[in-house]
Amino acid sequence: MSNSGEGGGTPKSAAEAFGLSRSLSWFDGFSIALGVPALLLFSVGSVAVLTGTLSPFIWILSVTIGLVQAFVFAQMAGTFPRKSGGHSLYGAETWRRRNRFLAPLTVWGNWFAWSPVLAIGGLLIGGYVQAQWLPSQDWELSFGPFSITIATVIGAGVLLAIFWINHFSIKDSARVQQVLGLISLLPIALLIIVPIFAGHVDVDNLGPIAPPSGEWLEWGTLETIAAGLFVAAWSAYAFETTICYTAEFKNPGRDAPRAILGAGVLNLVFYGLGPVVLLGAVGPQRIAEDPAVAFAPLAADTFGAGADIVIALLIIAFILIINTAILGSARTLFQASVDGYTIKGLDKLSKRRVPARAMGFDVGVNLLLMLLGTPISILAASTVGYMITNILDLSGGWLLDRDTRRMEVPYRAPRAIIRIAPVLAAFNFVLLFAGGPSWGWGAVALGWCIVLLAIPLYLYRRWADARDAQPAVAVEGVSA
Amino acid sequence: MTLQHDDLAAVDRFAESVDVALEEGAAGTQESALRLIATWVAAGIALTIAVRGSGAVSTVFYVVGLALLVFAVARLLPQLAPNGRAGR
Repeated sequence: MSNSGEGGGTPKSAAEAFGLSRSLSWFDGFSIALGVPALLLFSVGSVAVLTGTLSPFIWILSVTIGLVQAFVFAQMAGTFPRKSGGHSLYGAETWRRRNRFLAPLTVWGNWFAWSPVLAIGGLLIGGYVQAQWLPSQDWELSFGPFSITIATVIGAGVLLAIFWINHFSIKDSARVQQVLGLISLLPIALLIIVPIFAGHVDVDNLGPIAPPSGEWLEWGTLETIAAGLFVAAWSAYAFETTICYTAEFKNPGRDAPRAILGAGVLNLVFYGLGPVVLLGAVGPQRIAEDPAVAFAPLAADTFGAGADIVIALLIIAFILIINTAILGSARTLFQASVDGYTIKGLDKLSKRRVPARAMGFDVGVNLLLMLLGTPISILAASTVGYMITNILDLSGGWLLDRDTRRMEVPYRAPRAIIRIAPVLAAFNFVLLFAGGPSWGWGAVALGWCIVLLAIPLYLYRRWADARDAQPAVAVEGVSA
Repeated sequence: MTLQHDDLAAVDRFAESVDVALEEGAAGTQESALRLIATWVAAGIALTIAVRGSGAVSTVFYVVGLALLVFAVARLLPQLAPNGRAGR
């Protein structure tokens, strides 16, 4: 490895820049997913309001789909050992030879899938602080499409603080992730398990199991279920981050499926029990009062005076997941810039070997997003990006398997799973178009606009690269 | 196969062979990829109209959108076949 990354140079890859050259066990890969159950809290209330008693089934189905998809992405990760930053980078490698616009689209879509964790997490922290400790601070400043509340101010402060801390150095090793993940699991485990043993779950709130309209065989029900699955996917598929380390496992063929299955089971437990406990203990009416902070009444009912501590732990969990997301999305932006998929400059490292420009860009975009909407609207916009990257990468995984079938690759997913990858792509496609609009056309339009921005940015990058590569013949002519 | 990251030459050779395999796989498929993308876009437009519409209009566009989607997935199948167009 050259020292090109020092002092603001440009390494060839994130793996090179961040020194990812370890031999990891399956547990190290699994540990990346320990923070993912916290993402349940981002939308569990809204999905419960929309789909009622179907919501627990929607979450379980969503995690199961994510589990199957993760095997496809694991094979892709193993095939590109020099890439690091998420499955979109592997999908881009497959697609760029077939259509030059699909590669930047999937990379940018993946960035926009992860990056808004910052804005949503920040707003949720602000929302929980307000609900728990500052209920009288209900002022709002509005100007055009923007608005500022106490939640926005608190959230923005948290984002800037996290940016400042990460400016010093990046610590995203598997060991650090294990510790952070375990800490973030604690409050969620308390909120989910204690109400069950304390007898707070009212079974009457969990039935009858039917769509809100009461009719199963109508397009409206399909749209409602698709809308629930659409938003749930953003959280429930997210444990696919496990696959990032596939090429660094000691034995990818054995460790990759173990890590995926372990993460899948962990998330099935949390994503299966969480909505059941929330619906059963809080009830649909109280969830609907403020779905964004649906766990606040659960904490108050279950822990009484101890709710302050549980909410404080929950806020720490949000901070940890924001920290994980800022590292991941900055890495994606960094790698996208290195690979020439987006504007130059984001591939620069600071003196401390931190992709500070990519991180700063991330924080800037998220501060704007925080002004624009409610957490669930931002999440819906972000899910547009996530669905686009999933659709492209599942199809890309299929093509990659076909193209490399004669090769010996570090990990090969079961044939049956590779065969259904395009079917899963089509399934996600239906969720994108049939389910997305239920969360508001404005949110969906925002998501599409930001994702499609990938194309002009890519064209500008190509133009800028071509301009920079021009030989200085004319200048020589003048001097002669 | 276990790639040891301290053996960077082996990683480079592996990455190079993946590049070659992908180039071979993509050769001559640009046109079909464009048609495939067009089908997916058409399915998306049909489903969007279905969501916006109501009654019979919605039903018709749902059927058209889902049919286009099935068609799009089916178009990929020949490419997956062991002896398909890429000769694998």
